Amino acid sequence: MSLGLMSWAWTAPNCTIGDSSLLPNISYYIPFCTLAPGLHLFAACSNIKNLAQALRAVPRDTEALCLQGTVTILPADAFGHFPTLQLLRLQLGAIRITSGTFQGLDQLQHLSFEHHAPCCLSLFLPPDALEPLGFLNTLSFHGYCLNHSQDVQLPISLSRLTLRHSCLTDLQELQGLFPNLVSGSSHTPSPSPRTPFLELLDLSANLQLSRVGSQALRGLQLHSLRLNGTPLNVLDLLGSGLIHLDSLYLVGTGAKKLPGNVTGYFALRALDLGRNQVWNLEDGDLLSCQSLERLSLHANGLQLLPPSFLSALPQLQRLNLSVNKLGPTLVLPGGLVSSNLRMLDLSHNELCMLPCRAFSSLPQLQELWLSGNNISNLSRESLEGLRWLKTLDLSWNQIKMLTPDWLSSLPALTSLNLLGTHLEHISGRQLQGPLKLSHLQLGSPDMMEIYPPWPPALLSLELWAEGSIVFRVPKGEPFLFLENFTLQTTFMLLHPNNATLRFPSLRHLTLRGCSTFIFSQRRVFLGLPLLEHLHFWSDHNGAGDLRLFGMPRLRVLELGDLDFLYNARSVQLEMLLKELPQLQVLALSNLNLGNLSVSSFRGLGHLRLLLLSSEWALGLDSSLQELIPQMPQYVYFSDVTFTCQCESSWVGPWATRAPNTFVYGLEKSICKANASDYSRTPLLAFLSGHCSHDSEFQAFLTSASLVLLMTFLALLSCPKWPWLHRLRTLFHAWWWKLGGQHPRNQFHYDVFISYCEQDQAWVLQELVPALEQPLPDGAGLRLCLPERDFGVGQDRMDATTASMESSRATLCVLSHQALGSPWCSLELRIATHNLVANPGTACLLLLFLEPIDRRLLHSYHRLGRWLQKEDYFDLSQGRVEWDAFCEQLRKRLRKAGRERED
Amino acid sequence: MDDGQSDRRCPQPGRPCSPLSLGLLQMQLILHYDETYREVKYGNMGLPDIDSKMLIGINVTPIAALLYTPVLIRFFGTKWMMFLGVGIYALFVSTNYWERYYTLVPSAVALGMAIVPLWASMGNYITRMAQKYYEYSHYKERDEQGPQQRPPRGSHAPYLLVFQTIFYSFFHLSFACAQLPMIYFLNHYLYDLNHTLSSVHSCGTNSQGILSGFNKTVLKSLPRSRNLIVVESVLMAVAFVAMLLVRPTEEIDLRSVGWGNIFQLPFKHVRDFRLRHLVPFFIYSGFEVLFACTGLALGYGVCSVGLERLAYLLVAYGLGASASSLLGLLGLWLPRQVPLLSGAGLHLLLTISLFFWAPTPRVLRHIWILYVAAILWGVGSGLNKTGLSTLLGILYEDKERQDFIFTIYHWWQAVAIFVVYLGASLPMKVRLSGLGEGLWGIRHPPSPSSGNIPSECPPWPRSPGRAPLTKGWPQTQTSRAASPPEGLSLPLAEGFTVCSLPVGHPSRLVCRWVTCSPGVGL
Repeated sequence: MSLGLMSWAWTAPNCTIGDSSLLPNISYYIPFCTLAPGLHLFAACSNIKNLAQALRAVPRDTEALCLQGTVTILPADAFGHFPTLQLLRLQLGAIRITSGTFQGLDQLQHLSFEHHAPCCLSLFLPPDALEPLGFLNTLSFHGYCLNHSQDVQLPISLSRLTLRHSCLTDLQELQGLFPNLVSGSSHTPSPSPRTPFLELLDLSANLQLSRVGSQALRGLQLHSLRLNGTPLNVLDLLGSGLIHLDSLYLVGTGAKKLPGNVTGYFALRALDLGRNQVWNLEDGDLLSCQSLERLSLHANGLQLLPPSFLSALPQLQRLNLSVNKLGPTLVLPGGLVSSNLRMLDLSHNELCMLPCRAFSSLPQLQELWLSGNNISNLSRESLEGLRWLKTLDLSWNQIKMLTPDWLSSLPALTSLNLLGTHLEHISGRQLQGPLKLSHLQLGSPDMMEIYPPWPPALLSLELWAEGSIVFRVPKGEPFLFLENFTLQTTFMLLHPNNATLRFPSLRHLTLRGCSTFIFSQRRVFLGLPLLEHLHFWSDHNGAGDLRLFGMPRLRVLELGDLDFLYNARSVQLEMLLKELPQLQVLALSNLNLGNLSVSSFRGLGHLRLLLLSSEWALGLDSSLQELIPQMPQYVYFSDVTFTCQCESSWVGPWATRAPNTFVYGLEKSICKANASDYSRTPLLAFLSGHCSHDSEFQAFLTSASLVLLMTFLALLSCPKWPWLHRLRTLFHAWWWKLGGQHPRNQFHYDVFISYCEQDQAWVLQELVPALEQPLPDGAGLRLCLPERDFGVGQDRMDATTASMESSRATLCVLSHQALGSPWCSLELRIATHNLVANPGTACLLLLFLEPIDRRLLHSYHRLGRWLQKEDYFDLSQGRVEWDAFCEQLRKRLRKAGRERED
Repeated sequence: MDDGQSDRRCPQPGRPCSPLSLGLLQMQLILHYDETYREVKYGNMGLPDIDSKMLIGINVTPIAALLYTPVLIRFFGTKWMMFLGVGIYALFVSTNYWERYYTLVPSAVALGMAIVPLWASMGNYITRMAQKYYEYSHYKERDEQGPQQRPPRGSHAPYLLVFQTIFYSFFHLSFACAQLPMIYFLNHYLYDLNHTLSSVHSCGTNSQGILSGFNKTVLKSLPRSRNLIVVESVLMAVAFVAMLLVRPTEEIDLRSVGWGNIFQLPFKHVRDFRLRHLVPFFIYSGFEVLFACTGLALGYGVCSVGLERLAYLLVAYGLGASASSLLGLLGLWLPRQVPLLSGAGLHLLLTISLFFWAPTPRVLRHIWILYVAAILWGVGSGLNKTGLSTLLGILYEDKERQDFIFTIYHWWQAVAIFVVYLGASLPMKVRLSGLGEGLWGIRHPPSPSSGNIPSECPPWPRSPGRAPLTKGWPQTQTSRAASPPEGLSLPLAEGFTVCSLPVGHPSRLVCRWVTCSPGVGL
């Protein structure tokens, strides 16, 4: 349990996992998962086919989970692995929910079912499906019909219920659907506790919702009700039994007049009538709207406000009149001074002129939005009387000139927006008047020149100009308190040439379109000790040397469209990141990084997110794999083409299995072998197909077989053990037999022939040719004849013994003379001794040339015991049997040879 | 005595291999412990499971060693057994190139099987070599006395002492050398103690199990597989050299001939009275070596000063043990029990003081105490190992019995190691108490019931009908019993009985209760 709960992200196929603190940088990759505030780890999975498989890879301490795909059934305990889940958003098509689906989700606060097109899928919700969700705050159905569900018990903690794009036709249906939400008139009070108070009931976009049954919302206490885009008649709400209502949203319902009755009945405090056709406001309706504090008439085609408008709405604090036709000259109803109006939105109203003291009847006004009009001339008089105005938005107007004192009547102004105007020369004097001006936005289509003095309390400054922005700072006036600086231009120039511009308090710096020259000239961003965020998107023109120094507290660095890394690439990145010890987020886009190696990321211990996008031929060096334990928690690759090289073969296991890092986007990445390779090989497929790790296996095989070989060789060469010796001989014989040959034997001869001098003639003429001549004439045997084969000077005794031992058989030619010969007798004795000493291997054959009394034979009784019948041949009866004798002799010798081999 | 010569004559063959495998195992276990390394390199192979099976294989298999070790030694002979044992160690090193279930677990089981035979044959070999060397250096004198005269009992003891001392000195030195891969390779990849010990709260005597709360990631950066292969190849080369060193060139009269009732003999020897009194020593000897590696090094060392100093602690232990093995030479002058008992006493003192010490995690102030404890523990280990092996060689001179005796010694040691392995998850206090209990057992050996008391020990009978094929010392049966050794005689060895079963008479399995005269046994 403790292991699974560690906050470690795993790369999951089709899932994006991230930390919501990094959302500003990665929100692009999770389009369908909007999060509630305060959640940390989230997972967004798309294209899910198999729910269990997809969830297996999601970290267990995920707090927000968004699932998109097609799943038919949510089984019981489907999300039991995620006990800390607080938000669950399901876009899974037509699903069936079982009663135990949400078991174990004690901490879930937000649950939504969404289906975007086309309306509507049927969804069956078992009555007790939501019971385990003790902390559920928000329940939302989007694009689902709940017609088949009945008696669904809502958790009492619920405060926001949404049924958008559903197929409700009558509000009465809510009674059957959620009995503890609305206590219907016909029903007996349900045993389960009632939902006491609902903050929001959103029934927008129910295109068939036209009826409100009587007492349909009996007893419901509601803060706000949204009926945007429904054909419901608002007046019917009066009979719905609704006790309390604060805000009513009727955007796009086609209303033509203010719903005065409803407003009056509920004493509504907020009413939104945006995108309707309320062209005229009638005094009667206005009279019943006295309770309104917020009113929106956005995009209604209003041309005129009735004179009694402001006096009829004494409580009004915020009024939105944007995108109407109140121009060209603003005519605000005079008369009674409305003391409460704080916010007035008049943007996009085709206003051309602001008359003098136009807003004098609104002394409490704090926000005034006038953007998107055609105002060209502004004077002190037109803004007279706005003593408490804090925000003034004049963007996208045709302002070309400002009088130096135009702001003098706005002493409380803090935020001024002049983007999209035509002001080319702005002096600090023109901004004098308000002492607390802290947020300033200035924009001009082509170029802009700015002169000091700077507003003393300036915290945020945004400057837009296509061509160039020139700061004329003769004394090098610093922006003392500026924290936020956004600059979008091609050239930023300082005048005079030796001037410097300091930003000692800067925390966020955004530069778009500038060349890297801005950093290398070392006159502008000289030391930024407090800088935390730097966003720098260049224009591809700079070739200078970008060095980021003097930014010890930089946490977020985004660089894009820089070409300066074209040469000596990784060295440059290393130099760039060298002095940024606190960096947490590094987003690099379209930088032509080339090969990344371990040196590029050395010393970035705090890095949490690395985002590489739009890279061409990115290589990840094998030295980077050493860094795996220190890799940032989240690594995102987006639109990156890798180089097909086996150096990167560690990437696959790392991306799929490293427990401390979530890697996004490798599955879809492709790689290229060279610039002209258009095969679009998926990177992981290339790595698994071409880069196999065989070296370890080979080393194992080599060393193991060496060890075994060494052991066996040593075993085989050990002469001491008889069993091993026998084994070796057997193996030897088996080996030769396997090869189909006889072993090259230790026998030099086949037959040793012992004969006496008197029989020599017969032996030489008859016996030797018959045995020695090659087949088929003779037997092809190698004979050993003492007279022929013994060496000169050899001791005959030794030679006889040795020759007999190296012969397969010994053939004694016996006659009376032979028995008398001492040598023949000796040879017979030796042969007999061999026969007795080595039974089974020695072979003695006797050939009788003449009938001999067996008892004359030396040690006849012993011979008789050892010899078999086939071992002696009798030729004394005549020459008739000569051939048969030869055949028999050959057979016997062959047999003897075989025996000795075995 | 010429030490140089004795060194030359005394090969210490398996010496580098056993600690080498230990060092490798230690390195691999650390690498496998790291979650990132494990997941990235092995994915869902279930490496922790494999590692635990491996440890089971190494620790459990030797329990059966009593059955097969004498058979193996008799079948292969001492030197061959050593060669095969070292071969299996080398095979284990080899499988670490390519770690899979079907390479690691079988090789670990084989390793477990080889441990006891290797050590038994090593003890046997060294003892025999010492005897042979004595024979060699006293050749002329013996020749004059007549070939049939047996050398007086215990005469080879000094030689044996020197041989064992040199062996264990080198063995423990190689224990320190086994940490070289850690020091020169793995230490560069490890996190420091602030990371690894971030959630460790109690150490030493207060700790429970092995390093509870230790960080799951210990590697700052992952070693590249190429570098790992290089390191393993170096270890493999050392293993090969060890195999070549042991190459079984000639068999010098080492094998006991004849099979007899080889399956019964180990069990008969287990009941030998002198051995029975040494059993506490054997068990404690197993306890202490594993306690030094797990309890002291991990529970006290790593737990408080970090993984990066584990190697140095073990080096201190190894060097201490190596140096103190040389102290065993004192046995030449002192009574033999002094080194043995002083080692045990030292361990007892250390155990008691460790019992009351709980070092603070992540504090380096007390690191010198750890080093001192490691060195002292090493001193105790060295004295114990050297003394015990020497004593066995002195007590059992005839080679027919030596392989059994050493088998039983190392088998008891293996059993003790197995028990420590089983109890690894217990609280440190329990483990220390167990160790202290084992040490206490040495002082109070079980006293067998006494019976009829003849005046002398029965001779060890010879197998009848078998010609003595070895021409070493013709054994006159009376001479051994008649000349009791003058050396070690523990006061506790008074009036105990022995159940000695005559060899070669399988039909007469009846126990003969014999009591030895006081002081004979040890």
